[in-house]
Amino acid sequence: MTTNEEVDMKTEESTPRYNEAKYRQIVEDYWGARHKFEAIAEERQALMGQRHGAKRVIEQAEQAANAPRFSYEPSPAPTPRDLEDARRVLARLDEVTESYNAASAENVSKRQLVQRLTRFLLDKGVRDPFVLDQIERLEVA
Amino acid sequence: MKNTAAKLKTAQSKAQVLMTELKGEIEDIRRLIREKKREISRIETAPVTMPEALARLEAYIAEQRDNSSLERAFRHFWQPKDHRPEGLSSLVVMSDGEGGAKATGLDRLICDLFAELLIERFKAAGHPDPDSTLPLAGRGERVAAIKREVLAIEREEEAMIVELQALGLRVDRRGGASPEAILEWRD
Repeated sequence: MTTNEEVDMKTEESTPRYNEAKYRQIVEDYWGARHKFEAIAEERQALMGQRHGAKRVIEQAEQAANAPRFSYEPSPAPTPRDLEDARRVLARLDEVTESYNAASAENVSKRQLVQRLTRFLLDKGVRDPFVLDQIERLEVA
Repeated sequence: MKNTAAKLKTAQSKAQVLMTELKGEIEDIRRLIREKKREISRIETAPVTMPEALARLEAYIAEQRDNSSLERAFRHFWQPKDHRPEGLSSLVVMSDGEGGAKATGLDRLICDLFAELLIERFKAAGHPDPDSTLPLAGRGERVAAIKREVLAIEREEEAMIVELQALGLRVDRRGGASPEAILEWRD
């Protein structure tokens, strides 16, 4: 290898062919969005588990309110605190579902972007460990 | 104090106007990209011109005729006995025949016997609106030129997104945006 070729190789190695900082930023942004989405999904899951119970409490409260005043079998009325908790669960579920839908769409589009950028870099022969790491992370996640 | 608050409000309102303008510019850029991509699609999928389509048909007919043999096709009728397998018509035997690979083939037979008729019928048949057709020659170059234009526009779009992000305004990248433009790729 001649000296000129060595210089050329060094120059090539030291000159990035793309905006690495931006790639990293987009990737980090995606993982941030993904963590946010996972946290929302987890909360939604927990609220979904409570939904049935909360609806039941509200139904019981309605039945008790509509029951005849002198009934032989009065409907068991939930306590005001249980009723308030049940309403809070359902209201929170509505809020979280809205955030969940938005976060889900954001997660999908950002993931697609990272996948496209990463595939592009691989096709172009980039073998940066950070880029390669994304392939593994995306496959697992 | 009151003066500062007023100044801040004016600055905020100016920033808002600026950001709206910039977002509008991005929308204009995206509209232009969509138009260019539609143009690419139109060039790639436009039917070929009448002379080109006719030349294709003529070339096909010529090739079939070159490989046709009426002698082989009519051989069947010279046989002392009808050797047709049960259920096969004479036309099938003429075209596919008992001779297997030696037979002339239905498409060859048709092209050989009806070349002029095929061409005449082709000309008379419904064909695409001439305004929608494009010659094949030069399509590749036109598409490549438009793709280069699109890439340049996408680079402009990306630069604006970065600028807006620096101002704290979130602008999502398009799903189909070019990685080359986003990553500022240099070959």
